[in-house]
Amino acid sequence: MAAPLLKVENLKQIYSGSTILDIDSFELNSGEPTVIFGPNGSGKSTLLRLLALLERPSAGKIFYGESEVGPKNSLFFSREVALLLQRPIFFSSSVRENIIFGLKARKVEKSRIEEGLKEVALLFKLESLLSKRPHELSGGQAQRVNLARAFILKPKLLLLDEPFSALDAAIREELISSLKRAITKTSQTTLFVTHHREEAALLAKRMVVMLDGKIVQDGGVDEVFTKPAGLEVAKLIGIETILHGRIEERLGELAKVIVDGGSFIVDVSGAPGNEVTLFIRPEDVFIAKERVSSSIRNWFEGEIVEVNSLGRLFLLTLNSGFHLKAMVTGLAREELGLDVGAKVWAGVKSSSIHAVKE
Amino acid sequence: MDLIIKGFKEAAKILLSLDSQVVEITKLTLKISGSATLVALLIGIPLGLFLALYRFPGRRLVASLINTGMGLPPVVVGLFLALLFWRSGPLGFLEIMYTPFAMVAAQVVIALPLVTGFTMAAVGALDPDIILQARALGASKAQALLVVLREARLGTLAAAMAGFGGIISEIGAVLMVGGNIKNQTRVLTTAIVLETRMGRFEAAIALSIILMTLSFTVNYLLTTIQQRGSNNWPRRYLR
Repeated sequence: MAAPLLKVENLKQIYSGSTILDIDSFELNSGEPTVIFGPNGSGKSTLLRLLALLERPSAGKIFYGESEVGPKNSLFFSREVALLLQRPIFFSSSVRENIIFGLKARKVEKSRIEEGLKEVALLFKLESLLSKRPHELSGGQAQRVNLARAFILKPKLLLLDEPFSALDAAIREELISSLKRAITKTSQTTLFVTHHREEAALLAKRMVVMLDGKIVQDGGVDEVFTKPAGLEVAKLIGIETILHGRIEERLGELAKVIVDGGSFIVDVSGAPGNEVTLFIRPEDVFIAKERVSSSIRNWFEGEIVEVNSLGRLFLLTLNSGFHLKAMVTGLAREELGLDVGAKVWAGVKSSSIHAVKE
Repeated sequence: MDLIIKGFKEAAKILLSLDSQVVEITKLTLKISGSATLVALLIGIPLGLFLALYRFPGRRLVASLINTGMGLPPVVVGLFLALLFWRSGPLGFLEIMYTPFAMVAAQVVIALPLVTGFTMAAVGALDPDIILQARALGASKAQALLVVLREARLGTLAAAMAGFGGIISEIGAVLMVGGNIKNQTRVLTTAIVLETRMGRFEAAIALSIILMTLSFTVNYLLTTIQQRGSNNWPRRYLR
């Protein structure tokens, strides 16, 4: 079997006595769009700087292909990688010079530089901006230039450190789709750091969740979103309803779990008496005026106690003896009259409840 | 007034006739101040870069000494170097007193703090992440440092201008260690003093015109290079 594109072993980074990063092992294969997801200060950017070989780790090994990176080959391998910083800095030359900087540093011949420039200018719609100075660009244009100066290098691995975090939502969406297009078109392997759930879901197939410098979950995006490894991950990925309970009885494959103020039928292993935590995503909660006869096994009647607008969507808090959060569209809210004080029914499928034994 | 007008007329004649003495003095001035500026740049730019980029114990003291050195009186430099180079002085064995070498050394001592200080300030004003950005795009450490210098070019060219301007027009140090010996250590400034003392104002004026023209030409060239990279300030916010 071919060696992975990138592998790290027991990687540690310690600044002034405190451990910022501590990763036992991590591998990345070519063509595997991966996102590193975690809150601010979880060590994501430090990991990227180490992988880009811009810092030396306090301990541990980094392999690119079969080769272990050391002082002698670090410049070579650092040039196989490109890192897009969270806050890009442009040199005080033209946009064109900024884009071709990396190729010039690699002493690539002129004709290939021109060829590459043409390609990325087309890919990121920069043809009319090449002679401008970076300070004349808008935020979105600047980020497109930033993407272009990484893509022109055709790196084996492109590392992106929250490049769109400072932009407003509309420009961010536009840039994400243009990045996605570029990744597909060039088959570029990317490792994208973000703390935005939507970006993670849009850009990657694999999701690595980091907390306090450690990898706490590594799996498919769907898997992480539906089966978070623990309470912290669940909160991070936006699971609003987290309930602690106890298995009361087994119902074949399923189990009845008693929580404070109610009970659920969930798909969980374990014997009666076992403590479990239930995670319910707000978008998995079905809201109706009347109880609907369907395959949904968990129904709760309750009163809406809070309505929060999320733009086009609304997050409702329902009091059914316990608090249950549900997401509805503006249209549904209007049609069903989902305001504070309204009495409604909430349904949750057993398969939509992620239960973890404590 | 007549004296001045006559002085300028005679000076024009001297300049147009390309007097061999004047040409010789001008060439020596350029040679001495040019070499001193070059040496000061070669030492001062890396030193300024180092002081701006690295933290070490005593750094503040070194930076303060350099800033103080930017206003060093040339005559004091001349005095201390004369004491060093004097036959019985600690560097007397070099036998460079009253030679162009001693004059270059004196001018380097005057220009070095200017070049170092300006470079340090210019690099210090840059975004520290500029090195990270250059390295993130594949620059080697040396290439990243060159990027820093290029980004700080307004300051480093100001350093070159300040260095050259400071030494080509100084007289105290070159007079004390050079001695104003005809055809050996006589430069424009020392020659101007000599001619003025002897009442040959026309020659003094001619030499002054050359000195000012040289200073202006060099500064004009450096300013042109410097301004090429500078930002166009949007005046609309000042209307």
